[in-house]
Amino acid sequence: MAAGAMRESGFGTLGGAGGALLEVRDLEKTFRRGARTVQAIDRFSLTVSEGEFVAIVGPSGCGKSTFLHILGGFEPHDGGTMLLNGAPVRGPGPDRGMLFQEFALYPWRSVIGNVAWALEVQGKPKAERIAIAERYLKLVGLSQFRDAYPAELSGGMKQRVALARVLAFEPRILLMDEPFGALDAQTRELMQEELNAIWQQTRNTVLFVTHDIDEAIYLADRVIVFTARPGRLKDEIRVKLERPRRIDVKKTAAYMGYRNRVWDSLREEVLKAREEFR
Amino acid sequence: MADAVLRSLARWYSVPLVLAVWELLARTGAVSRRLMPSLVEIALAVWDAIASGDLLFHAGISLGRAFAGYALAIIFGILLGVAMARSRAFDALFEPIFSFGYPVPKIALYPIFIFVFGFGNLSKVMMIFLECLYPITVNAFYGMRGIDRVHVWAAHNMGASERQIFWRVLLPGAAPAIFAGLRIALPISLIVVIITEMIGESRGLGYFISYASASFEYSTAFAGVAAVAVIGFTLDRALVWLRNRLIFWERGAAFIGAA
Repeated sequence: MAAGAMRESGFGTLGGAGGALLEVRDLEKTFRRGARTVQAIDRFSLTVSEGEFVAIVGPSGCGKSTFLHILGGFEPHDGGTMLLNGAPVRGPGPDRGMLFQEFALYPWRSVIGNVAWALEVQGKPKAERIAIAERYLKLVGLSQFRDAYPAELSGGMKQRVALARVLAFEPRILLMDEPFGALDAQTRELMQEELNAIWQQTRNTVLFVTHDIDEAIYLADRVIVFTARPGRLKDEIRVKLERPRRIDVKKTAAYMGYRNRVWDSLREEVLKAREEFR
Repeated sequence: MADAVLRSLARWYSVPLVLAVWELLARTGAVSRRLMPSLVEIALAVWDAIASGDLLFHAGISLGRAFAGYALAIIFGILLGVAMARSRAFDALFEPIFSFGYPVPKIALYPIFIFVFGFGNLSKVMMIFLECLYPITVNAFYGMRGIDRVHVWAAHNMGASERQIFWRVLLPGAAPAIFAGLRIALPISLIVVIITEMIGESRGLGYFISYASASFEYSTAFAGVAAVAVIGFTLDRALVWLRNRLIFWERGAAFIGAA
């Protein structure tokens, strides 16, 4: 059940940390191009609890984005099961909110139009969807840009609009596919801070794919390391840094410890992935 | 202010330059005045043709034919391009036809069109339709195919229906490419109407120009050419204006003369 604190702060649906929300068992994925087959994911299993922030890191091409696309229902898989809240995942749907690296905003819709359209397709009446959209734009700090168009916004602002858009339809879980990957280093760092602050309020369940170790440790409760292709579970690190986390946490010894731990695990796989491209 | 004048001078100076060279050649007699009348004579001929009502009558006929063929091509071209992008069966059926037919000058079929549709309006309208159909269909097809998959995925993610995705994501997403096709086809419709009217016809600007030339009234012929030029330019500007109103989010990008 949704936690009372969330309802009071006006951002719906999310539960307190508790039972398993997402259960992935032995997921398999193979791409076929003509006679060639490439195994992308090999018997990957993962359980995510309600309210948990899980980051997935791995070398490029390891299948971590593919995993998110399968979970989002955009791509089929070849074996294994995926249960969200006990029910099998079939096709795309608003119980999972997907955030794309490319933002995926509609350039012909204003900022508020982009956010409100997600609610319009779900049949919410106009006054209600505008009110909800405005509330989430305020959450991401873009109220004064409600009538701007995506082309007028910076990359960081675009991703904030996209975040408001998925938060607005209150998915059970957020799937973020390298959401800050297209941003410059400074903007990226600011966005991490901002996401952390927003998460502190909304307590969404999040699955966050990235290749950036710092981003993963700073944001997540748990970091999953993928092997080089085919993607398999390599390692799992619980990040027990205190919340709310300020950006200074990156300077602490505890943080550096986690960083070394993840990097040691990932390094081998990055080297393996590199071998494959030779 | 002076800056703006200079800038537009820098941009447009070639037009008066060409006119000046024309006038020079005509006045010095370097080219026979019969073939290349002076601009003043052409202007007088335009005036005469307007005053007698001839120019507007023939222009009206040509415009009517061009519009009829162009409008048919817009309707069927967009429908076909969209259907090909959406359905494998349509794609398999029409793609080879469009691939092979695209570089072929369809105008070569005109004698056959005359045989089938007669000398009147119909053969011309059908010819314009066929020539305009290709760029419109091909651009609509690539516009639909070129839509970012994350735009479709994001809509699926929100729970949008296929119908909502078609009307609210795919069509606006393909609109810039569709308009590019419309802009390519517009002058084609005028070219084809003029050419077809030069062959066995007694009405329209093509007839007006070829009749005047055959009668050695070159200034009148050039008056007809000037009318075609003005019509073409004006229609293109109108289309750009409309495009920039409809596709406001992409103002100027990849569309020459959109400013």
